[in-house]
Amino acid sequence: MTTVEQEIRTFLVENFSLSGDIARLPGTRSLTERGIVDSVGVVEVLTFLETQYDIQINDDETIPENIDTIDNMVRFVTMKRGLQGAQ
Amino acid sequence: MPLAPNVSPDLLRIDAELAISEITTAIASAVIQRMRKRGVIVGLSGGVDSTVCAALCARALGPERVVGLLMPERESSPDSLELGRLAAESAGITPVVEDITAVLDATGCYRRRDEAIRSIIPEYSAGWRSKVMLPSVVGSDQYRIFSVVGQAPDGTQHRARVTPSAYLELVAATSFKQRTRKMMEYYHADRRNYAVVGTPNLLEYDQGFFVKNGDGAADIKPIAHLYKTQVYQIAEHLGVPDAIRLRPPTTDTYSLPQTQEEFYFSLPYDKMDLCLYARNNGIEAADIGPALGLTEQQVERVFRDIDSKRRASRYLHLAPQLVAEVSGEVSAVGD
Repeated sequence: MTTVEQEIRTFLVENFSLSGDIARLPGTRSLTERGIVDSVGVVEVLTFLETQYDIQINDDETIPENIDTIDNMVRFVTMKRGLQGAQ
Repeated sequence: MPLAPNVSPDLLRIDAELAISEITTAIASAVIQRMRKRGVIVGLSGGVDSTVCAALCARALGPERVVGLLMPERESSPDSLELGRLAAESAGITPVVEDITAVLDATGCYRRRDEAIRSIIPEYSAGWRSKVMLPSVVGSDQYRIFSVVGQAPDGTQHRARVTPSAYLELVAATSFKQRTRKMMEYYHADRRNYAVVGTPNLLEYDQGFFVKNGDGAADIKPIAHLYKTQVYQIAEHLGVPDAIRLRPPTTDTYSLPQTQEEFYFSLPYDKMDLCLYARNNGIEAADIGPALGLTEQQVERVFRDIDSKRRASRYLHLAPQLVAEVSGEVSAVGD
């Protein structure tokens, strides 16, 4: 497990009252469709990602492909940091 | 596999006279027999829902047993007061005006809201106006995250996506408006031994477009089972004035003009109605799309938004949770 993934899992557990082993939370599970993250929660996730990883998330990037699962978030953050690092 | 029905707005056509008869019978039975109240209070916003509720109550109970409460505040549209008076006049009921600005000032509604806005738009100051907006649901898969639009006195606009704390503070502060109105409705109800009418239509009721213990609180909700399109049919049948029927549905909560579509629903009400009907009746996105001028993918997005709002509004509909069952007289006279 990467550091980014570990940090995201910790954030989710601490903020959305997920019980159980963090490592067992499936990385491909939709957080919104399962009701784990609601509409306010999506804003909390965005704020966390922007603050924690010093990235700017544009409105058109606030889509499920980027933030609806842990795997998607890890992929998105890695991509954004790579882009910013290249600039 | 169910056959795709001939999907069109006609699906929502009702027999208005029959619906009016059923609703007025239910109002009389609930208010007079079950609640043992002498009449009702209806908060009149100048919109079609509250006007229809007032007219239905006047038919059910007699206009002398219905009071229309108009509750302007310093940010509400002047149209609302004028149309509220027109609504009372057309229903033949007594209008009472209560300006709630002083109450809202005292609770800090405006100040707290403005502080929340300033946390994301630092320039926001005296003389500015504001509203909140959601992105279109049909245009992309983008999450529907609120933005605040602040407008300076010179007309220039600033837009900022909400932060979690700004969003929660904004909702909490502006909800003083709906809760103050409801408090005032119950004051006028209690002093007359009346009940309070809630005016949501099915779209609002189903999708949680109300404030808990604000406009969501009431003793009876006569049109909560009717799609908005059907409320308009009844309005026409009841002779609700054109000025009210033709007014676009508004929230009248923020200082900048704002439609319900911008604020909450993803489509104009007639299209939302059809989508909700389709969702409720197992009609596929591909079958309803042509009637709406939308692609299957766009309707699927609306369906997801409907489901998401239902999940989010579960708490709003939840009654106070009791630890153990309460038996005896209290529950016997309940629902």
